[in-house]
This record gives sequence, structure tokens and C-alpha cells, in this order.
Amino acid sequence: MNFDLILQNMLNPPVLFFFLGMLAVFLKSELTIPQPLPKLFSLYLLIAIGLHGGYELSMSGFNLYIFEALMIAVGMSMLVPIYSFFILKTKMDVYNSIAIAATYGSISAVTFITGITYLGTIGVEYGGFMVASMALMESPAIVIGLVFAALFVKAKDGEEEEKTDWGEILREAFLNPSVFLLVGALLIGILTGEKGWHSMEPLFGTLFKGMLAFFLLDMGLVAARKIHELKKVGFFLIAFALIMPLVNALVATGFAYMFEIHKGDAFLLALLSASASYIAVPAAMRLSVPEANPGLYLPLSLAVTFPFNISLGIPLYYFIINSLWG
Amino acid sequence: MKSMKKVEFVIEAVYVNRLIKLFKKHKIYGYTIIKDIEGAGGHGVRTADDVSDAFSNNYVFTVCEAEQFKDMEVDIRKFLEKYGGKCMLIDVMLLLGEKQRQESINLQYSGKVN
Repeated sequence: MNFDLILQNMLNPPVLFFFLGMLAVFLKSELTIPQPLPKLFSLYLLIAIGLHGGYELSMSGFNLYIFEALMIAVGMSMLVPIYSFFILKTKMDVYNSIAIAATYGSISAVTFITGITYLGTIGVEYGGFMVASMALMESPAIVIGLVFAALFVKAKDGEEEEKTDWGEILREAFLNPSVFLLVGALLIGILTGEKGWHSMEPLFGTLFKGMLAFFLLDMGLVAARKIHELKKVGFFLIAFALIMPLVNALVATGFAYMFEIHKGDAFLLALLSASASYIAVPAAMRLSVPEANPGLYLPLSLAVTFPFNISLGIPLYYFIINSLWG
Repeated sequence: MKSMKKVEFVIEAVYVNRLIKLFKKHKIYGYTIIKDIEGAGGHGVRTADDVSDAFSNNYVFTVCEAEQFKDMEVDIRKFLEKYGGKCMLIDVMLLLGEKQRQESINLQYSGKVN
């Protein structure tokens, strides 16, 4: 693999801020980002990419190519939790298999944002509709997780089966704040088009990279604090958290190649498939499978897969796609 | 002054709505929520700067009559068994406003309250 690709990604200021956050925890610095600022950064990033994606989509329009790319995205978000669940079930109980499979079936918006920043750095174009594919990939894994819970989880002896509050859980799956805001911003971007985007650009375009650096600094702090929890996780799951992203990226790359998806879009599909959720899915899993241990699925996603993806995963997936696409 | 029970909970944010439902089931409609509390317990240290709300802890309390708590006790035990968290019960004296105090005295003199 071309070392330059890794260097270009690692020398991206927001990525370096992520590692700075981690370093602060390792060196026992008192650095913290006071609440509720991290939530503000998260809301900012979702609005920014939603608006920009909507604007791009309003310029390009909707066609068969976009439909195919969106279908690959949805297909991957349904396929990944299914095969992940059966792999995990060979070594783990049903509850944790469901929660971890759903975590890896859904996506990380910040990984996607770091990916598009990387594409900007190396000058590769991508379609604005990819933001829509990201939004579409958030929820199916949660629903698959719920279906597995209904199929495989039986009430314990002597325990009356509790009625599942499907309304609450489906609301969490499809209307959780991340998905709601992202889809809402995307629609506003489509409706207001070029004029709307230019009026919002000073805040949501120009400041974007700086806000991403702030958010990744916080993510670095949070991820590093989760690392000590990995001692309880065990070798199998850590290997899963490192190998599975690559497997998922390769499967997505295969589909993208088959459907002749453009290089930048194919890279983002691979990256989205490789990423794991640490916001939407954990909340939904706490509601639907409270028996699953959050001390497993959250550190895996946040302290193993996320750092791997934004440091080595991004250049690695791009290298594979660039080799195939030429 | 009125003798009441203060029921305090430390629970994960995602379960707050389910706790509120439990309150309403037992006709308790007043409660207070303090979000994003920090501390350490059975699940280790919990900080308030997590990126996911799913793992932040909230502090919820309500004040109710002893009878109401008695009705609710079994459900609270089931709730804690399923979702974790802590529940503390405290005897408190509720200081009433002047108008409420007069109403309470009038009720006692009219023999409606023992």
C-alpha cells in the first residue's frame, strides 16, 4: 500500500486532533470539553453534511445511477448485521450477538465525514447523494436486530414475557436525533438548492473542518477512556472489530464494482459499510435488548473500529478501490 | 408540614421515559429530572461527556404518599432488575404553602382526614 495515502490521511488536522484527545487521556491531562458542546458539534456536523448533500442532490437530480448506489447502501446495511450475527453467535450469547451485529450493521457519521474530508484532500469527487445513503444506512441494522431479538430470544423460565413497545423502539430506530436531523437538513438542502446553500455556507461550509477538529478532539478523549474496558472484551471480539470492517468494505467494494459506481462514491460506500455505530444503535439496543452488555459493543465500536477506520482504514479502502478502478 | 416519601433514582437516560410511564401507572404525575450526572458505581465511572446519550446517567426523583409508594414498590423492583440503576427511599417532611396548609387544617377539622 502506498505510504503517501496513509500520510495524507494522518496529517489531516482533524485526524491529528483525534489522536491529541487520546494522548490527553493517556498522559492524564485534565483536558475536557464541557457539556453540552460535544452535542452541539455533533448537531453542527449533521446539519452541515445534510445541507451540503441536499444542495449537491438538487444540482445533480435523481437518476438510475443514484438509485443503484442507494440500493447498495441499503443492501449492505441489511446484509452486514445478518452475517455478523451468525459469526458472533458461534462464540457468544444471543443478546450480545444481536447488539454487536446491529452496531456493525449501522454506520458512523463522523467516519463518513472524515472520509469526505480525505477525498477533498486528495482531490477525488463524490456525489452529494452519498449523504442520503448514509442516512438510509443508519436504521435497517436496528430493525434487523429487533427481528433477531423476536426470533431468538425466549422468555426465561418463570418469567412472564414482557410486551415489546414497538412504537418506542421503531421511533428510536427511524426518528432518533441523528437520522431525523440529517434527513431534515438534506431535505432543506434539496428544497433551497444553490441559493440556500450559499446563504448558509459561511457557517456550515467555511467552518466545517474546524468544527470537525473540535468534535474529533472530544471523540479522542471519549475513545481513550473506553480503551481500559477492552481488557474485559477478549481476543475474539477485538479481532472481530478489526477484521470485520475490512470484510464489510470488501463486500461493498465488490457490489460497487459490479454496478460500476464511481471511485469516490465506491470509497464512501466501502467506508460506510466498514464503520460501526456508537450513537444511534447503542441507544436503540439499550431499549430493545437491555440484557446485552454495553461494556462490549460500545468500546469495540468507539475504541477499536473508529480509530482504526479514521487512521488506517480510510487510506486502505481507498488504496483497494483505486487499484481496482485505476 | 406533611409527611411524604421521596423516591430517588439514578438510571440510564434511555430508560427515563419507561420510569415516567411507571410513575403514571401509579398516578404519580410530578417528578424532577437532572440530566447528565457524573459519578462511579457498579458500572464503573460514568462521565457526562459521552457522545452517546445512551450511557449518560440521569437523576430522577418524585415525592409521593407512603401508600402510593407501597403500590409501586413491586414494579420498581422489576424495573431495577431489568434495567439496572439505583433507587433510594427517604422520609421527608413537605413544607406546604400557606393556602395548602389552611386547606390541610380544614380537612383535618372536618374529620375527613385522620
